[in-house]
Amino acid sequence: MDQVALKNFEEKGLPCPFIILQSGVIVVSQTGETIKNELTQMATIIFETINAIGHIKIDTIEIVGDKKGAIITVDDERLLGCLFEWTEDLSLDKLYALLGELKDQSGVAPTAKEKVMVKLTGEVLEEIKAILKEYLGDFAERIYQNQIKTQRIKTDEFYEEDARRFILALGKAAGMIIGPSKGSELTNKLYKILK
Amino acid sequence: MELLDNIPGIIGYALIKIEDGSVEEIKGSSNSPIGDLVAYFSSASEAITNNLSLGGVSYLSLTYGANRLVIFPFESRYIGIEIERDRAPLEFIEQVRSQMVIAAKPKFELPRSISSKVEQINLLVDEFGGQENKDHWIEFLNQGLGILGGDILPYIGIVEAKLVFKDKPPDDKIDNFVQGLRSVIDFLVKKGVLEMGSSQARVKVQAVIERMK
Repeated sequence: MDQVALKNFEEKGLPCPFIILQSGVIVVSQTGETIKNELTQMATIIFETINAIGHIKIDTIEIVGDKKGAIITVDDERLLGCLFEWTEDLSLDKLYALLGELKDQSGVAPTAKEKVMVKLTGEVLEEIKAILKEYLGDFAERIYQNQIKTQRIKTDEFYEEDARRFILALGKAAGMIIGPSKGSELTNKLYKILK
Repeated sequence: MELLDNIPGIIGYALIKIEDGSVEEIKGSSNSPIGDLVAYFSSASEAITNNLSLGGVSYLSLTYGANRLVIFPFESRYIGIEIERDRAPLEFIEQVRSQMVIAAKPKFELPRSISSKVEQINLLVDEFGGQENKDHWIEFLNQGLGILGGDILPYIGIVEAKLVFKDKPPDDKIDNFVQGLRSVIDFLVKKGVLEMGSSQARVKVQAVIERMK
């Protein structure tokens, strides 16, 4: 995606749009040229903060000041966002919708292209559920359903990456019932399904 | 911060001192590391707002999974509140800032199926924890709610060491909420057996049954 494409989004109502890769590569609309360095520094701070927190998958960030604000979507190892000024008719929902379009049009993040996205069958979820039942008995169904919702798992679009995140969350929740060592044992057993 | 305990929709919260970034309080049934998130991101937002000349930090909002964390400065602290993802950050910030929420809190009656479970949970915590171990059992209660509560979480809170409903449960969710609370009761009983052995736990459960008569 280039500056011209970003200009189109700006004309549609997305103020000062930008795309920044974790590697530091930045594409910004003409209006953002003067603050290119500041935007890159912002991205560095965000990536460092996300890495410091670790296992939680943050997907959007809104930073709002008295004068202006930034909306950022975190997509693998890249940030897509815009900088806006507060006006009476400002609609954040509209900005999010335009950012969604920008994300679709700019394709997948470079690192995601290199990753092999392995789609899993429904049988994997059934196996996970069966093992969970073995360890948690009557608690299994509720823990399973709650984590499906909390981790925003789409059962018909279930990839290995989602499965790893899901298993980690299930193991952590289960550990609170059956103790941490049994919880780890369960996590390892669930990971074996993916091998 | 009692005010936050009473606001419907808040799943958990963390308070961070603006002065040194230290964690002052973390409460609620959140499964996420909200203390770390508030501490790291409040500091990051200060650097970013300065850098990009956004003005003073008004608020910061992060979404992850099914939830949203809203962080904003309030008096000498950063408050971070975890809410459901589709809720509007400003609505909650206004509630905290206006401090009108307690006075405006609507009165409602809980369905019997739910109120009896809430009573049972509070009595179990009371019996298992007694006076000396109450905090430990409130911690177990929060753990149980966090992993088994599901959709209940925005509706409940712990106020003065008691589980309470802060908002009226929707009619179409009552059965689900009863199931969830039943699971939390089973969770507490399981913890009781692990902590004090089955015979002692049974005596405590029996005491709860007696108190409910």
